[in-house]
Amino acid sequence: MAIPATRSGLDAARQIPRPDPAEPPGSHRVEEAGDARLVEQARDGDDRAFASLVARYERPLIRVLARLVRDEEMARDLAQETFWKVYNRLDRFDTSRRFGPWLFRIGVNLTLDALRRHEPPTPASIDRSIDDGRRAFDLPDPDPRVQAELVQEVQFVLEKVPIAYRTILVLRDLEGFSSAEVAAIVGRREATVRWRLAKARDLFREHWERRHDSMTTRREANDEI
Amino acid sequence: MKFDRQCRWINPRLPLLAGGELGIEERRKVERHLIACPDCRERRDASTSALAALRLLGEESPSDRQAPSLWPALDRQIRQSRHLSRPALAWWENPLPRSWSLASLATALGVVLVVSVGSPRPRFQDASPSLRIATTRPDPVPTVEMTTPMVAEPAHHRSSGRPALPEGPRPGELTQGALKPIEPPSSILRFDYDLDHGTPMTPGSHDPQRTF
Repeated sequence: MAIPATRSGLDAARQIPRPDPAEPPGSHRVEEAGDARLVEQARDGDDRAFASLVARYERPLIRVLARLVRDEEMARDLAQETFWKVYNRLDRFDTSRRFGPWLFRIGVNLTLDALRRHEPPTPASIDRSIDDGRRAFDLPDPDPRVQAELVQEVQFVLEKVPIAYRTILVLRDLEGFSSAEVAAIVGRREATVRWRLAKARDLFREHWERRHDSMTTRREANDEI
Repeated sequence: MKFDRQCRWINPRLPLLAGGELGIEERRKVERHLIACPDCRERRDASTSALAALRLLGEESPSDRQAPSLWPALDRQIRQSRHLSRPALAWWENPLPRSWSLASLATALGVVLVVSVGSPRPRFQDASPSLRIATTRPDPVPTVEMTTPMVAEPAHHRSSGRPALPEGPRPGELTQGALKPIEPPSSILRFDYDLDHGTPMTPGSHDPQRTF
């Protein structure tokens, strides 16, 4: 059974925001313009065009970076640094290619460099009680508290996955980027990304099962006592 | 069931099958194997559950949706960089130094012009008289020009009893009594001074042999 992705990352990112009625009539035309056109206008010194690009991509970018660094403030700083770098490199951008993967590639690389400099502390694990006899894989739990704990547990397990594979998981499975988009962001061929994705999911499954097995063993020990 | 060669081919594709990333041919082949292989089915189920858990995390937003936009800070950053990267004005482009420099240049040109053209030649002025005598020519001897030379009127023209002076007064002779203008001589009478004796001398009578 295939699990459909929730949405496509860049397609969701490229949703054109509704125009503000208070804005002048011509401003909405800028929002509707394609990324390449906005880049060209920004190159010519049109700050409003670059503001449109920022408005279009800042939320998904911060989301992705926050998934990788697990710190929203740091993710915002990294996103701002990313846009600043993009602004200074607009002349190097090939407008025949897509702007989104280029932007996310710069952001992800900046984040990976930051993570290499100082890996954030591993979040504390929540020893979830599974006294109800259900397996940890039985999803979703109708109780929002249990689901929130499960989310934290998933995050804890995800931290165990090496960063190269974790990046693929975040982009493909958490943010819904297509394999082609992930390939463009990480700078690999699509076939390579596909096999890395399989490997990443397998690594996550191993850690997830190991976590579940250790909880089961602990629960059995508690039962014996 | 043993883990055979077909299971080794199937196993790495199970995570892709769970995510729906397998092509049509590969998917058929894997599903055909899963029907007959409970071990691979179990691994398929585990992969599907793990992926579902992972995507559950994806539904949670890691960032605050109400967080302010990055644009104001970026806009400030861009403006500051533009301000810093703006090249400094050359001296001829900056209005204040330009006016000062032009005024200085005009003043300097004026001074040069006045000194070289308009002003008299500088004189050596020294207050020391001895040095002045030694280094400069003596001042010209003041001349007395008698445009209306006065001569004394003969005594017999007056009513006094004094003996009369010989007739025919000589030019320039002063006598008591009324003065009568005489005709000026054809040549102006000049007196030079003998520097050694301080006595007046007529022009041409100066004997250089007599001066020391």
